[in-house]
Amino acid sequence: MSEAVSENPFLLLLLEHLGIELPLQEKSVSEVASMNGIDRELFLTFIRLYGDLNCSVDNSFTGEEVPTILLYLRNSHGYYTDEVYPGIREIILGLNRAGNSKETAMIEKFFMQYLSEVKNHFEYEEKTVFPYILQLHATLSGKDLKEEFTGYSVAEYKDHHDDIEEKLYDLKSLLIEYLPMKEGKQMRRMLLLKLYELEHDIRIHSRIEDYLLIPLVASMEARIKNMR
Amino acid sequence: MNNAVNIIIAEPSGLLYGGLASVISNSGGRFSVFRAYSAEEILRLLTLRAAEAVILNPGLVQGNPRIMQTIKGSCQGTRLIALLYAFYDESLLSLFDDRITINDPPERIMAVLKGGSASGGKTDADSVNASLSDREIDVLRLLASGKATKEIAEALHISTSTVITHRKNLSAKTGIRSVSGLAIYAVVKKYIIPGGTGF
Repeated sequence: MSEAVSENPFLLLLLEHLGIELPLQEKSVSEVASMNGIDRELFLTFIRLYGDLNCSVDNSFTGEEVPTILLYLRNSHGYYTDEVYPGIREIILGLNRAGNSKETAMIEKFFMQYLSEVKNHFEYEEKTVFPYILQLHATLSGKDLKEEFTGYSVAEYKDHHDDIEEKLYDLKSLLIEYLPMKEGKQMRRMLLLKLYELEHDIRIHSRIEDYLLIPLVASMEARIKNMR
Repeated sequence: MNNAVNIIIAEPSGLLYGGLASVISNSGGRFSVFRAYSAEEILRLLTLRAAEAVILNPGLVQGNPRIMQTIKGSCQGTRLIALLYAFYDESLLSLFDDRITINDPPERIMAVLKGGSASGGKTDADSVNASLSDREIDVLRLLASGKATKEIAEALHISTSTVITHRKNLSAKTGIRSVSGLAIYAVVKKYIIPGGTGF
C-alpha cells in the first residue's frame, strides 16, 4: 500500500476520506482494507479511480458497501469545506489586499457565490440523500423493515445533481487566460495549484457519485420494490 | 483554451470502453471521457455538461428511433459517432455524423474525433483566436446584466433558441460556462462597466 501512495500522493486524500490513518507500516492493500472494515473490491475501485479517472467502474457491488461510500463522501465534504475552501478564500482575500483592481474583487464575489452553491449541494446530500440511502441499506440488511419510504427516489438526486465543477473550471480559466494582475503573482500561482488539487479530488468525488453510488442505489430501490 | 473537451462513450462492453477511453486519453489531447450505460444516461450527462462528441454503440438505440432523435435534438453542436463491431441497418447509421470501427487504428479514431471539430466549428486552436461577433457581444452584455434567455430574446428581437446558440458559442470561444464567470470576462474585456445590476 505504501508503494502505491509513494507513486500517487493523491491517495493520501483517499486514505483520509476513508478514515485510514498513517503510518501504513508494511501492510498490503488487502490488509489495509480489511483492518479498516472496507470491502477490498471497493477499495481497489477507489484506488483505480485515483490513478485513472477514466477507468471503468465495475457495477457488481451489492449495496453492503454503501456505508463506506457515504463515509468517503461525507469526509471529503468536510475536507473541502473545513480545509480547502477557507484556504482558497484566504489567498483570494490576500490578492485583494495586495492592491489589485476591481477584477479581483469580482473573483472574491464569484468564489463566495460558488461556495454558497456548493454548501447547499452538500447540505442537500447530507440531510436528504444520504439518510435516504442509509434507510434503504437498513431495509435490505433486514434491520428496519417497518420503515416506510417517503416517496423519495434516487432519480430525484440525479436531477438535483448539480455540476459543482463548472465554476471551478471558470475560475481557473479566468485566472489563467483573462485576469490582469499587477500584484500577487505568487499568490495567483498558489491559488491555481490549489484549484487544480481541488478539481482533481472533486472530479473523482463526482465519478464515485455518478458511476458507483447512483447505479447502486437504483438497484437497491429495484430490489426493495420487488420485495414488497 | 485550457478546458478539456468532453467525450461521452456509450458502450456496454467494459473492455471496449476501456480500450477506447485509453486511446483517447493517450492521444495527447485534453479530453475528459465520460461513460454512459444507456441512451437515457447520455441525455442526463448532456444536461450536466456540453460534450464535443458522443461515441455510441448503435445497439443501444436500435429499435428506438425516438430516443436517437431526442439525443440529436438535445445536443446541437455535439457529434454523434457510431462505434461499430456488428452490422446495423444503414437507415439507423445515417442518423450518425460519423462512424468508427473496433479495427480502426488510434490515429483514425482521433482523426474522426478531431475532424468533426474542424468541420463542425471550434477546435481549441480556433477558439483562442476566435473573436466574438457583434451579436455575441450583445448577448454577453445582457447576460452579464442579469437578463434571462427570454428577456434577451425579446430585447434583441431573436428567438430563444438563437440566444441559446449564441450562449453556447460564447462559452466555446471563451472557455467560460457560468453566467457569473462570463460577467467577469465581460468586465475584464471592457464590454461592460461594473456596477450594473447583473453581478
